[in-house]
Amino acid sequence: MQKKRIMTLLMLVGKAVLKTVFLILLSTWLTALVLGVLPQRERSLDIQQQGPTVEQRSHTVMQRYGDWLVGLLHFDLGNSEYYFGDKVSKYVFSNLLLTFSLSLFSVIISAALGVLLGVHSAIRGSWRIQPPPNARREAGFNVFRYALYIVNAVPTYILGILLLLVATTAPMVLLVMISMVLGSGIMMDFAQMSARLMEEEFQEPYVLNALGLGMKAGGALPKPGTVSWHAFRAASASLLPLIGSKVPFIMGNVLVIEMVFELPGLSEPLLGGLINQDLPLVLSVLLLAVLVVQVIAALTEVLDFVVNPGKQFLI
Amino acid sequence: MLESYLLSAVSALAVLVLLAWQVRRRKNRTALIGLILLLPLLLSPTITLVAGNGLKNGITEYRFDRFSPPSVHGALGTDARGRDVLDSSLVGSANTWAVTAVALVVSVLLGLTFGLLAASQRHFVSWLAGVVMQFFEVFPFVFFLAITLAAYRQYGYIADVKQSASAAAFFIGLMMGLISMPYLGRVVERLSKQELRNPYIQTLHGAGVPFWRILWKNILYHNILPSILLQISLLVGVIILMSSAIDYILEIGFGDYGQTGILSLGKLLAHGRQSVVFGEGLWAVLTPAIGILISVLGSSLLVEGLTRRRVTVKQ
Repeated sequence: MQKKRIMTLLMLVGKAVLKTVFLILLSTWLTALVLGVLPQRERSLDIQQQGPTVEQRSHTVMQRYGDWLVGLLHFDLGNSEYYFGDKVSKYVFSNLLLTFSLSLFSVIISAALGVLLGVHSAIRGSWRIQPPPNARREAGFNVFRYALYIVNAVPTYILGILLLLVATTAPMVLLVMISMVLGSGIMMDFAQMSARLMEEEFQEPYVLNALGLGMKAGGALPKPGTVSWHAFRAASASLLPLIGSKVPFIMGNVLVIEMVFELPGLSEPLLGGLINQDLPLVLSVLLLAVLVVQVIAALTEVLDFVVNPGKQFLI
Repeated sequence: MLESYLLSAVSALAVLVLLAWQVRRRKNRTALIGLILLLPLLLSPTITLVAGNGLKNGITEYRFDRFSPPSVHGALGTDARGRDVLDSSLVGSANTWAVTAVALVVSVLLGLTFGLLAASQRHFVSWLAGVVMQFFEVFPFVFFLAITLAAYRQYGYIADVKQSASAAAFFIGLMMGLISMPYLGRVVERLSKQELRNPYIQTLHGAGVPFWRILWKNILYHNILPSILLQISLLVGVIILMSSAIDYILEIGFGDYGQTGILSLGKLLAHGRQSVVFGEGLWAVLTPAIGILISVLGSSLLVEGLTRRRVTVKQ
C-alpha cells in the first residue's frame, strides 16, 4: 500500500515536470515570436557599444531563441543583449527570491483567511450543523465580511500606493502588509469557493448519518472529531487544486505591486527587457515566472495528495 | 467615435435587463444593492451615446485649466491634464464596459468550450484542453498583455493603420478574454466532471445519445448553467480589476509602448497617480477610483446575493 502511494506521488511529480517543460517551451517560443514582430529600436551609444555583436544582430529571432534554448540545456541563461552584456542570471536570480516569497506569502495569507471566512460562513448558514447565531454576532460577522468585500474591490495598485503613504520601515512588517494587499484581491474568491464546497458537503447523506449517530456537529470552525471537520476534509479535496490555480493571478499582482513600490523583483528586468527587446532577459524572466507558478501548483497538488489519501488522482 | 458605443450600449442594457430579472426573481437585498452599484458602469455607454459630441470637449486636454476644483462649470472639476473629470470618467466607464463586454464574450465562448472538452472522456482531447487552459494560466497576465499590446501598437505603426478607439477596445478585450478564459474553463470542467458521475449519464450513454450532446444539452444547459452564469457575473469584477491594472502598468512603466489603449478608468487613475501621493487635486482620482470600486463591489455582491440559499430553520 505504502509502495503504491510512493509510486503515485512520484508519477504526480513526473507529470508536473513534463507539463512544466512543455509549457516553458510553448510560452517562450510564442514570446520570441511576438518579440520578433517588434521593429528594432534606436539605442543610445553606450548600450550599442556593449550590446550584441554584429554577428548576433544578423541572427533572426528564432536563431537567437535556439541559442538561448541550447544555453538553457547547459544551465546557462545567456548574456543580456542590451544590458551591458552581463550574465542574465545575475539580474534575475537575485530578484527571483523577492517575487517568489511575495507570491507564496500572499497565497498562504489569502488562502488561510479566505478559507476560514468561507468555512465559518458555511457552518453558520447550515441549520444541520449550527443553529442561527445571535443578532450581535451576526452583525459583527457581516461587518467583517463586507469590509473584506470592499478591500477586495479596490485595485491592488491603489492599495499599494495607500500602503506607501503609511508604510513602516520594518522590512518584515512591510512584506506582510504587501502580501496582505496582494492576497486581498483573491481572498473573497477563496471564501466563496470554500463556502460553496462546504455547503455542498453538508448536503451529503453521511453528514446526516453522523449527526444521527450522535457525533458532535462542531463549533464556529471545524475541530477534529466533529462532523464539520470531516466535511472540511472532504471539501479540501476540491479546494486545494483551486487554490493552486489562483497562483498565476497573484503572481501577476506581485509584478504590478513590484512596479508600484519599485521593489527589486522580477518586474524590474521584465520591464527593462521588454522596452529594450532583450530576448535572453525576457525569456529568462518568463521561464522563472512559469517555474514559480508551476512549483507552487505542484506543491498544492502534493499537499492535496498527502491530506487526502483516499482521493483518486488521474495520472 | 459615438457609433462604436452603440453596440456596447445595447449589450450593457441587455445585461442590465437580464440581471434585473434575476434579482427580481430571487428577491435578495444583497443582490439588489449589487445591481444598483453596477448601474453607473452599465448605463455609461448609453449616456455617452446620448450625450454625443457634448463629451468631446470634456475629454480634450487643456493644459491651462489643470486641477480646477468642482464648480458650476464642471461638477467634478478638472484633472492634471485639464480634462473635465465627469466627462472623462463617463467615457472611461463606457470604454471599460466595452473592453469588459468583449472579454466576457471571448471568455465565455472559449471557457465553455475548453472546460467541456477538458471534462471529455477522450484522454487526448481532455489533456489538450487542459494544457491550453494552463498555458493562459501560467503566463503572468501583466507580461502577456504588455507584450501583445506592444506588438499591437508596433503593428499599427508598421502597417500605418489608424487604430480607432473601438479597434483598441476590441483588441484589449480579446486579450483580456484569453487570459480570463481559464477562470471560467476550470469551473466548467469541475462542475461537468461532478455531473458526469451521476447515474443518469450512464443511462443516456446506454440509450445511444452522443457524448457531445450529453455535454452540451444535458450537462451544460440543463444542469450547470445557473452556476456558470454566476461565475460570469464574478468575471466582470475580475476583468475590470485586471484591465485597470494593465492600463496602470502600461502607463507608468512602458514608455511609448504604454500609450496603447483607450481612455479607461484604469488609465484615468494612472494619469492622476501623483494626486494620491502629493494630495493635489484628489477629486481627479476619486471619481475613477470610486467607479472601479463600486463596479467590482457590485459584481461581488450580486454573486453573493444570487448564490445565497434561503435557509429555513425548523426548531
